[in-house]
Amino acid sequence: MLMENRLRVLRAERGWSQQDLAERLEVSRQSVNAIETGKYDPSLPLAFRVAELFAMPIEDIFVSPSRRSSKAI
Amino acid sequence: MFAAKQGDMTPAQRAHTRRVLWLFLAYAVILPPLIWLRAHRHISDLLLMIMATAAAIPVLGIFASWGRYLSDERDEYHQAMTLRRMAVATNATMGAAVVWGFLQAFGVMPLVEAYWIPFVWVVIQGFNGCIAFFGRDRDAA
Amino acid sequence: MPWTPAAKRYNLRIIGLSLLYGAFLIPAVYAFKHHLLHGAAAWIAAILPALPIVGIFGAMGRYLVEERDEYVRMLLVRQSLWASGFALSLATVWGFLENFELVGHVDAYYITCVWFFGLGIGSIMNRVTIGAAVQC
Repeated sequence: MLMENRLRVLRAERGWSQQDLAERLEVSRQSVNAIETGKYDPSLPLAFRVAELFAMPIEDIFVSPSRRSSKAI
Repeated sequence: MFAAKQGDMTPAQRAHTRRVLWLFLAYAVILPPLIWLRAHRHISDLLLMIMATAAAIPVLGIFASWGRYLSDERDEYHQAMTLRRMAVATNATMGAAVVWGFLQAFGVMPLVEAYWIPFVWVVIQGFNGCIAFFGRDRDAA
Repeated sequence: MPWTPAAKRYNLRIIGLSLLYGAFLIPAVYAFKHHLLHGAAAWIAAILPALPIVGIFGAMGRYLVEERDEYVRMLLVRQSLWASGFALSLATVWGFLENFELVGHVDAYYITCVWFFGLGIGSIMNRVTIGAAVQC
């Protein structure tokens, strides 16, 4: 279920800690960590909130699973 | 149950923990007098049934609190993790009940009261909490 | 309702496990009835029929994970929660009634029957609360 994403990079660019990002998204820090490390896929509403927070389209943050570079699960 | 530090809990978790503590308290307060009454006075069957149900209600309240927590929790990751833990606890409990039941039926083990089943379930949930506590991810800030 | 691939696999597993259950149970009942087993053999013969039932619960869990249709999965998760809540609550109340000596002891595996009945309740609750139900 690993969905590659650029969350950590984008977060670092703005100098935000996981806790900062969590507060802005109104979720827990554990959620942010789980999403960044690919342990958990966010729901659609949450993915949209992330995209709106970074002012980017969703596809620029999360790599669609069908477009993954590696075809292994 | 959820996280090591108070500060780590979400509002829904805090609410649930508070409810459970009150329910445990209620249980601790209700049960001893009932047991005493049964031992020292003659109670009619109907009253006994009411007393037994009264003792069970705080425990039922704990399960209801879990249900309420699941719908209250706005953080989807915690929701998903809790669901998974509950599924594991239920699976393990049902498995244990089945094995024990067969041992009982074939006379290898004694019959026990049914409330040990929820007891096992709650204990497994507790184990999950301990595992979460000791196995916390080392995560970067 | 068309079976999803995960549901078909689940069905096959259930059928296989049920057959295994029958295969283990019948000799065990016979052996115990005629007092043929003692000691470790008794334990093994008693536990063997239980294992396919444990496997059935495992198959259900596996199905929940494998089902790729997330809506169906959500409905089933809700059903299972109702089933668990119902079974655990009933066990609690029954246990207290037992303790107060109002009802008799029951073999523990009946809780599984209660749980499966609870799935039916969950299905009804699904229909009532969100207007949909899935055949299990």
